[in-house]
Amino acid sequence: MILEKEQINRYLRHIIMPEISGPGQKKLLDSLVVIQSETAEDSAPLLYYLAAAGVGHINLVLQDEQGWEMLSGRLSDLNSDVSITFGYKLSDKIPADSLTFKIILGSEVYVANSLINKVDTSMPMIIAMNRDWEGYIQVFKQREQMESAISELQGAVQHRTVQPKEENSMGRIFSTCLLGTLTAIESIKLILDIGTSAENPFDFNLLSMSFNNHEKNNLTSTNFFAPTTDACSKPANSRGLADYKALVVGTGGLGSPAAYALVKAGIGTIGLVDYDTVDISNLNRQILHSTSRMGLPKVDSAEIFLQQLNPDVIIIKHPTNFNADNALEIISGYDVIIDGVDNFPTRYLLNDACYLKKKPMLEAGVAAFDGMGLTIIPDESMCYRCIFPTIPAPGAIPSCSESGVLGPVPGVMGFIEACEAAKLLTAQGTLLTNNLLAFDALDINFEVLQLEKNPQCALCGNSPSIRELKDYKFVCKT
Amino acid sequence: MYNDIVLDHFSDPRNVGQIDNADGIGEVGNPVDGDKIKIYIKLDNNILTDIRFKTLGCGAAIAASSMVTVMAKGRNLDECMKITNEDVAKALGGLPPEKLKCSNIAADALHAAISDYRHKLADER
Repeated sequence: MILEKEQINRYLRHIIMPEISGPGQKKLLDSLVVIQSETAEDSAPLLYYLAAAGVGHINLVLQDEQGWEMLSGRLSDLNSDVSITFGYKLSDKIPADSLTFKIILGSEVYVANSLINKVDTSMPMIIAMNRDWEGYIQVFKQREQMESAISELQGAVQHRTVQPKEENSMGRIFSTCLLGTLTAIESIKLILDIGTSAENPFDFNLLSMSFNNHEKNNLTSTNFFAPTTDACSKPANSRGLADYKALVVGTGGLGSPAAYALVKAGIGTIGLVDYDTVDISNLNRQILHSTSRMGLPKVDSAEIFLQQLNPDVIIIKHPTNFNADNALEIISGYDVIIDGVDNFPTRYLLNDACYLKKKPMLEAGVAAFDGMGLTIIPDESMCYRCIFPTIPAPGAIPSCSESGVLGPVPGVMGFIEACEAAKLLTAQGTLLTNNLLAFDALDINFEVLQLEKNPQCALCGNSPSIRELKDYKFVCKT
Repeated sequence: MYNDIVLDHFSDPRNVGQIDNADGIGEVGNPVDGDKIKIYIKLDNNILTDIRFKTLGCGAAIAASSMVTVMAKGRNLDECMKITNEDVAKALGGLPPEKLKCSNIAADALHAAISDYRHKLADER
């Protein structure tokens, strides 16, 4: 067999997609990525998602190794298929025809300093940098284009007057999470030669929820290098997140990154709802869990990870099936609810419960290479039913088949949910209310679709017909 | 859940892809499960010389598609029409019961490709 039996189960969600399949997963396992980063902290989201996806050989150059020990243990427990070496020791185990490439990732100051020196253009390269709330990615595939493009980038980063870095600010935490995850996606696309790479500059601003693919390599036209960039015009709520309670319903592909980012950003209390146990096929994307915790209830596995990440966070576990009988009671103790569920019946139930209890809800869904997100404030903005009034009929949606998803895609959407939750709680930035975010990982493209509350909505419209919760069920007709 | 033969064909599918100037194309989909199988065939003198598939679906559907292409390649059309979904499942060493109806439809796709070829042939005459 092309992969070992355990690997087929581990990467099931990748192998099932024709764009990857078994040979593609083999390519990922055979590849080597050299990552140059400032701190273990900065590289963590990228490393979690590369390791989970099975990018087999990682060579790490860290300027500051603080925190590496704990991260290293977690990465090898997440996926022991992946070997991580230190300091430009290019492994001789790499097959000759596999791809070797380099990533420079970190704060704009760090990346600027890295680019001052002569850059090795012998292999493809991804440059990824960020500051509070904002990030920038560019992929360089061709050697010829690399030198001129890099010198332009060198110029642009050096001409910026850079603010002194605020360590571990909320904005930096969220931009680091999204930047690392998007960089993992660009890495996988590069290895598999699929989709459209960010060969032209891509930048994002999580505070204003703007995502831009710039057509030409004209850096001054990008938002990231625009001279007037002032990301933090509105001061954050000084209390931060410490007094707030967030509930994550589902601790899987979406719930993992959402809980990770919120705990990292200092949420006071996090509630976790999941009745499931950790399975090997979760581990290509569910970064809270690990190989040694397979078989454990997911809420227990997540607790171990999150408590270590931030010993101060209060964790409340709800190891139960979320249903019409317990939904209202579970959500009642929280300030904000994050949808991390993987099926339509629970998604509709959660939407209805949050509206009836007047709880703000962060919504996201993923499939294959695509994701969508929406922020819902009851009565103020549209709900999930305003766009998708009724639960899809059994048959319209795969119900008894395994479905594929690229590991870091739910990572992107879960981090966006967490970021929206933090902005909502601390009253800063522009929210995705009445705005549906659609993400296409293959083209690294985000579209924001402006929509309106539906007056005919059966839940939040002018004459609502849904006044209490009901369980919805899918039956697989065999 | 799957046996070794299924895992092998699922993770390393044979004859995957498409044939640009195919003599026949067959497509079947199972609306309940969401599995979709498309099979392309190329013929020479009534013998199936090339066969490719594209499948969107679960592991069982991908493995069944791969297996049916292996079983059909090099056979004549009458022999191919006799290959049943049950034969495919048997060659795979069995499929989980819940997958037998939902995903074991690759032989139907092969038959559809052959019918497509025969219709085209009839139209030409």
